Amino acid sequence: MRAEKLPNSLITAHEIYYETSGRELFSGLNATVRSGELVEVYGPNGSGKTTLLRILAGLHRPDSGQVIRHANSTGFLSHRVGLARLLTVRENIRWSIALSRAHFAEARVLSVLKQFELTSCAQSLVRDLSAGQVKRSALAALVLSDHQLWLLDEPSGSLDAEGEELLCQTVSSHCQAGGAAIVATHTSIALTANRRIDLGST
Amino acid sequence: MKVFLATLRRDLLVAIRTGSETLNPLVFLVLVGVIFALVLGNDHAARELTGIPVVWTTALFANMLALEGLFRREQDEGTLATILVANESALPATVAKLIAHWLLTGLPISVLAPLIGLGFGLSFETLGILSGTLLIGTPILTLVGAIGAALVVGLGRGGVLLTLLVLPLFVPVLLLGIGTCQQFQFNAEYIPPLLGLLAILSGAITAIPISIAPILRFSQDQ
Repeated sequence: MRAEKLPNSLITAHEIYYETSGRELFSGLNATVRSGELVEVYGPNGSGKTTLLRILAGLHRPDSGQVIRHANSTGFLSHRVGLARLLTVRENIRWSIALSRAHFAEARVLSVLKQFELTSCAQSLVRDLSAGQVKRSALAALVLSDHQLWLLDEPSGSLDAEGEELLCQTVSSHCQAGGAAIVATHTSIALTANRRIDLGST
Repeated sequence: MKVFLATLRRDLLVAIRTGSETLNPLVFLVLVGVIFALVLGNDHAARELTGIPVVWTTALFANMLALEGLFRREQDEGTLATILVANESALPATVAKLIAHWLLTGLPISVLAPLIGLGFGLSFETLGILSGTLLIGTPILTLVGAIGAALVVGLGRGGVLLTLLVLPLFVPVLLLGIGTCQQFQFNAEYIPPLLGLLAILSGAITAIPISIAPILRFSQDQ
């Protein structure tokens, strides 16, 4: 049976089954994420959060079931943050914007850099930044890329308390503006999710 | 076009900042070429006979040295996943990566190789056709090699596997390249092997760029 498109849905996962090394990670997993929704994927290490996000991103194929992405564009932030270490923060952001075919507006870039406290290191190579600054840079690139759907894998990793708060605000603003986010986490962060997929109990 | 140009610019910038890693294949080409020319000494006939095969074979291996890095850095940094998730941008971005790779390896190899050929006492006309065949052959090596590099990128360090995968596919290009130059050198009919080389190039340009993103997506699944 094919998954049907529901109104405003940005992504639909239908009867996802996936096993690795003979261990079943998910079975019969169904989820639809609509515009404006924030869904938290929660579970301990090894429960399959990253795998689920990669399946939703189209980077892994499930053993059975299907994923249909209706979103105009999808941004994926994983453990590997997707920034070139030998480029500056600005150069990385410029490339991310071009890749997502978003509009490059200098004033907006400066504003987001300021919001993420990256103004002083905008011209620094990513390899010279701290882990927290790298994560902030990746989030800034994601915000400026104007993706409709965000898939975030442990986005709070390496962030301090202030950065974590900024992350929560950014994700909430994105969803309020009509986007959607699926956030995988193993710790409790102050996200006000509409729904939670608990992989620890599957 | 925006995605293509941005990715091309990005890859060239990264290559410039990588420095020695980018220059390694060219240093290899020069070193091996010079060593061969020195070993053959004053034996003019032997140098003239072996010059073209040595330069072409060295150019092929120099190209292979750079192949594993074609997608490796992007895989490690996570930018490859970013490219693949951005569905519509995956094709122009991968095409830009292939062109950047050729500009950084194939083109300088094609320019440097005739200089090495000088050490083998090759005539200027022969050096010209050597450079020409390399300008046709090195894009094929990049395109065919990209298939192998895309297949092994999900396997961690896949250098040996990559060599085993692509080397047999490089052999026809090597034979046609050397054949064209030698036929020309010895005043024989050199057009048929040259046409063979051009036919492979047009086939590779038509079929390979569109298949790289799906292969990369497949290798992410491993």
